[in-house]
Amino acid sequence: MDGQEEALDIYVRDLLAIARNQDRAAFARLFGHFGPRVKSYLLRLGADQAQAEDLTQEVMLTVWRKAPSYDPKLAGPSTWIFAIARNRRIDALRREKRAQLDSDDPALQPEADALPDRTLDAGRWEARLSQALRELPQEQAQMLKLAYYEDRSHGDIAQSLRLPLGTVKSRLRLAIGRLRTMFGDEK
Amino acid sequence: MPRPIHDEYLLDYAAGSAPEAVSVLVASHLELCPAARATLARLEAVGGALLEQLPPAGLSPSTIEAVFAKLDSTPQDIRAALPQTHDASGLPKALAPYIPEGGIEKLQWRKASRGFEEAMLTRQGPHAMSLLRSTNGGRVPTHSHTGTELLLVLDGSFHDERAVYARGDVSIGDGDVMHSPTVDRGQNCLCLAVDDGAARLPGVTGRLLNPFLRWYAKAR
Repeated sequence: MDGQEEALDIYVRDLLAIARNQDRAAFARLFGHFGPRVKSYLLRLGADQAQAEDLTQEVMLTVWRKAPSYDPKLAGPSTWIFAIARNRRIDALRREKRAQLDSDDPALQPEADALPDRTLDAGRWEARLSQALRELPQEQAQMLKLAYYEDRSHGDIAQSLRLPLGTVKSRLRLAIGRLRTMFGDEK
Repeated sequence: MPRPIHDEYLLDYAAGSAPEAVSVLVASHLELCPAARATLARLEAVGGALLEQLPPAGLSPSTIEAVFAKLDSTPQDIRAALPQTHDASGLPKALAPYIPEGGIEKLQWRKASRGFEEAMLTRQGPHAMSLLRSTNGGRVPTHSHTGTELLLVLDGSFHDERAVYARGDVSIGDGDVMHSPTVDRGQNCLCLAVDDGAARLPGVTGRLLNPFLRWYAKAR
């Protein structure tokens, strides 16, 4: 187990401790790591400083509130917190338009299936995925980051990079294909 | 087993960048398609790994204080994730906010193409989301599309020149697709339809004729 895998395992334990004992020290550690990254994510998606601070606050309180439903077999801590941040942001964007359901409500979530390799817990699996992402060819990694962080359609990405839409789509497909190989999925 | 929708739709859903109507269709599909759920879990893990790689942005001390001050008044949800169950209607839960009490019969159904009826659920920006159904067979004349139309089968099935679409399957129709969706005589089909409005006409006449015209657009 390398350093990063070990580090992520700590956050799995922290989430479980928050769920079991409302462990504030565990929450403080988790907050110290993920709070600034969640804020960074929100800033990249176009939130201003004040919105990013407010939403980060909501996200981290949601982490505290929903820790009892965290299942390390289904998602690593980064994945779970990423999904909460994504959903909170979508809710914030839609709030003005219509009363919106709580998109974290388990009843509205597609039932999650366990990750492919059950011999690895999700925290460790997540660390391997990070490694795989770093090994992607640069142009594929760039496409993925734009897709996740820029909230733009594939058409917009194509326009701003002055690439044909087909090239953007095929790079995204290649990136997903490579990651699938890494996930051990059949072709 | 339903066939999963293309990865690019799941990627947009995982990244949170799908427009609302498209995300409702994808969420409904996910409820019905285990293979799509498995791919989504992987794509969300990509989001998690990318989050991990972001440079941390400093939080103001007041935000940090505010969070810790609120912990005591933030009770934890003791409810564990509920198993996914559908209500008696068999409709995906993601659709529930758009369906009136009393079910889909309470919607305003309008005659659409031959043998089909359509009920509008919502419009958001260029996107329109509706239910389309045929209760006793029908056939849409051969046509292409000016925009992109997604059809998720919720009940029954239809077929076209490409495939048979049953509950959980998604048909994607765009300018490259020429087809005539058909529900066999005596059979029924209920679909969730999302289109990006490229072929939409305004006004009452447009609304009445729209599904027909949408299907006819470019079919010459």
